[in-house]
Amino acid sequence: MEMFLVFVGNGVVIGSIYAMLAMGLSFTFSIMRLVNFAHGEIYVLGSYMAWVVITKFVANFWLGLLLAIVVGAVLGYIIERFAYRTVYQAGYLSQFLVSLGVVVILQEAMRVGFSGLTQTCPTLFPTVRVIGKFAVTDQRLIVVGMTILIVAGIFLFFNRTKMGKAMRATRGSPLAAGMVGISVPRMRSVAFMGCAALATVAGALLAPIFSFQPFIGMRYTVVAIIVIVAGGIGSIGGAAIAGYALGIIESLFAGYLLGQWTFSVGFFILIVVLKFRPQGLFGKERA
Amino acid sequence: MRSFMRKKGFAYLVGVALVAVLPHLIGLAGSAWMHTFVIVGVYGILTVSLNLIRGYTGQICISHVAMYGIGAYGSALVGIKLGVNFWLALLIGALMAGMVGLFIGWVSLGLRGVYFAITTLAFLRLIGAILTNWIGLTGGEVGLYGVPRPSIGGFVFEPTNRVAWIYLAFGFLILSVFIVDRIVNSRMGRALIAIREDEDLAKSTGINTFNYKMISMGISSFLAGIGGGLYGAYMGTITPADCAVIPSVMAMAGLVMGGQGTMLGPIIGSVFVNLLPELLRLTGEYYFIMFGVIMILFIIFLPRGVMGVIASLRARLRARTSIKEVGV
Repeated sequence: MEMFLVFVGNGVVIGSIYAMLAMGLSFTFSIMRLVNFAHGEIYVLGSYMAWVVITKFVANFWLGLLLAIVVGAVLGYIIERFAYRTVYQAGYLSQFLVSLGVVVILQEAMRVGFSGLTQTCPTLFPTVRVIGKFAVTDQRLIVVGMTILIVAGIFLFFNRTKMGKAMRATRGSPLAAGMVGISVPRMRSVAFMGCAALATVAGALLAPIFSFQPFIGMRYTVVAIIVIVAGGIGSIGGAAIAGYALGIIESLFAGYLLGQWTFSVGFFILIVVLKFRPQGLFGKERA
Repeated sequence: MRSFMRKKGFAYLVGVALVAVLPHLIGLAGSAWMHTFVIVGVYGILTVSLNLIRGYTGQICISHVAMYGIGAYGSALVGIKLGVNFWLALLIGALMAGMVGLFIGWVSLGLRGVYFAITTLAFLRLIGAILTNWIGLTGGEVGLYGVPRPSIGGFVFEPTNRVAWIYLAFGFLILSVFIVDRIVNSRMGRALIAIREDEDLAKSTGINTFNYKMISMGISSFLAGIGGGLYGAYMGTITPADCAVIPSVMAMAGLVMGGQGTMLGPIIGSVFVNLLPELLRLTGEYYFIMFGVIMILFIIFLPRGVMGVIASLRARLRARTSIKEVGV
């Protein structure tokens, strides 16, 4: 039973990141109708930002997180403005290829900039706390805490602020949103900046827990896609729940069965969901 | 068949003649390019087969390169572990690729457009992860090496014999173009194109769209498997990186740059995506970033590829002559 709790605890940490990644990707998809394959690469870049600050400048995790947010938002602006904006009307294959071109550019830029070696970021919060039967490091508590804060922030943003409502309107119908005076290009730009920042934050949070290298991003993009499809396309809450569920199931699988084959769990879920419940667990839109 | 040959026989003859002189032409540019052109030929089989499922059936199949990988791994494993004759191994590898392609199709071909595409991306990752993790069978990251070379009678296709390899690769390339051409210009091909243009409409005319998509997926996966088997035999080694995301990007980018839904487009595309990085490599460390930038600009400004440009130039020329004819 004790091991079970440990595995579940690990699963919650990983699930937090899956949820954050999936929510970002899901939202860019629903507002821009474009799958951003570079999501995972942006996540890895966030890990590198935290790593650069901590190992090269000052040993302050929060500064690393801040740099990750800034870099994520700026990069998001650039990608949306110069790559994606040109292909909104161009059909899925053009969008994919432009997106994959961004993947290639980011991967190579990271390889040239930070070398292709696998890196780990030293943790600045190694203290182990015992809460009930859980023993958990502060670093992991920070991951879970930040995720809860961010998810709550996202829900408040969409439900309470004017801009959040404008964004939801854009998601529902860009044409109608434009007619009532919402600047659709601006909404898309801001949404993409936010989602890129969300990815870099996830990367920075996990940098001290998982190792990373320039070519690992696609793994996270694919996990985010699995979570979105399983949770139901278009359902941001579903993405969050499915993200946590996948994290916990994977962690239990790794703990009790085959650690090496953990990646297969997500794919198995994907295949079963697509074949027997194509609209996802919480979705309305059929995949 | 007879009318087909009457219509297109000349084009194929020209193609065969071009291939016959190809190694000598490349030899003039320098023997280093011979290697690149073997890869162009093998990769061309991949883009031609991708053209069947994407260009003619309209399905964005991102996992297609994984079928190429399965063909390579399958034929190499059968050759290494069981010592089967190369040509039989090639066929077995390609059949394996076809079977996996059909399975992926069975799971995901019920989906439309973007959902199909992202699901196949997940399959690309899954197959890559299996090839990396099943170390006992596939050798993990290091991959397989010592893949048997093909031979006819006593003649062995050694990788140093680039001329022979160019003939072999381009021979299979022409064969796969022929197969795709035959399919596209048949009753089935018309059904596939109908699906590409409007799936609901195709369905309403009585076409079993799921079955046709499955057949298209199976045949294109089989052809990709042939390409992969040849690639493994030429390189002598095969690793998971050979069928990961980047080769998949290159194959799709090649198809679009050349012109999807045309017979020559994928071949032009294969030349493009294999030659361009080699040329850019001379510019230094940033060459692959430049490749990415060129690719994005290409997609944005010339979404119909080289063949699209040729078609629109032709149309413009024709318009001009017809204006002359009426004397305006």
